[in-house]
Amino acid sequence: MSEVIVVTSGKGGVGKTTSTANIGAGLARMNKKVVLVDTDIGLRNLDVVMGLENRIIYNLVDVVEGNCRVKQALIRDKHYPGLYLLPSAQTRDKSAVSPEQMIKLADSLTQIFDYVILDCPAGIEQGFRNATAAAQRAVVVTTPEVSAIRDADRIIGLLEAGGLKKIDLVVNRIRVDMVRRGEMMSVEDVLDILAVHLLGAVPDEEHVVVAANHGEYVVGSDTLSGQAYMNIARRITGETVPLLDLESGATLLHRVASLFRRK
Amino acid sequence: MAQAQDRNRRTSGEIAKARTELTVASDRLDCSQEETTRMREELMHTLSKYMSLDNELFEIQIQIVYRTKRGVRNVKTIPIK
Repeated sequence: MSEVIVVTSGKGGVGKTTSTANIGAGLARMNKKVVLVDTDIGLRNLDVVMGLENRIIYNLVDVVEGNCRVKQALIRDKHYPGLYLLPSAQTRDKSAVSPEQMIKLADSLTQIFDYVILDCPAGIEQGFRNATAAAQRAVVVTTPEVSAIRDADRIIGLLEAGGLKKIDLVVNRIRVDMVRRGEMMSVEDVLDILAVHLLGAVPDEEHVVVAANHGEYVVGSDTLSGQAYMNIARRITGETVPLLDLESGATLLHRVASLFRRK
Repeated sequence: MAQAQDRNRRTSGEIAKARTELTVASDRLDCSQEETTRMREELMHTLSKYMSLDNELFEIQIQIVYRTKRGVRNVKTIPIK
């Protein structure tokens, strides 16, 4: 039984693409067959995050327009044999694909893969409508910032109105030290406001940037962010995984201090 | 004045949460923050005639009930502090 999942956020720059890549890699580590589809036509970037930018021959628009077969456009990942990328077109615009075409494309990919993950463009225009039309499930990515949460709430409203039943939240870029000082909203604060199911929280770590610089994944590495993404992938498959203790990176002194500061 | 002092005491995280709640509430209700604040004040004013209320603790909760085609109810609660 395969699933089509859209990764979306509304606001740009919160980590949709990085999350898509790492969730995909996490699922591939569990021996699932996964395809990541970059649906941001005109602004492709999932390929560089995955380090596959030099291997692109055909793209999503070529498949939709019938210039090639689906299998010709798929690029196999360097690390995981079960992970593939369907890149976006760089020289076309969002109107090149319709929601109906996207649904047809997703359908054909579910014949081959266990998980079809659609990396949605920012905004709520055609690109968003295309990606969400084809999905049965949504992962909404947000950060603990006023603007990102506001946009996430709007997106959740739109997804619900569109009839999507399964909507989960990923809170990205948590800085535990700042939360501890009260200078950043906590995961609980974000959940309080958005009232959706939490799929996982990812700490803001340098490793994420370093991995992306190399076109690699943090998932599979011995880092908190890597573990957080791996847990998210496991929860997507239906496993029950307890929430990661993001504090485990803090020193003992910090942890004792935070005990006293808690209200 | 009391509000200014209160603002100094609160951490930026708490301020961010309060601001997010207000923005999200006004987005969901499709009515401006000034309007929701005024609504809260007017309700506070009206209810104060009948009972003693603490302005700091006073909070309105608006429940919006959507009825979908299949008869399933989707309730969204919007608190205004």
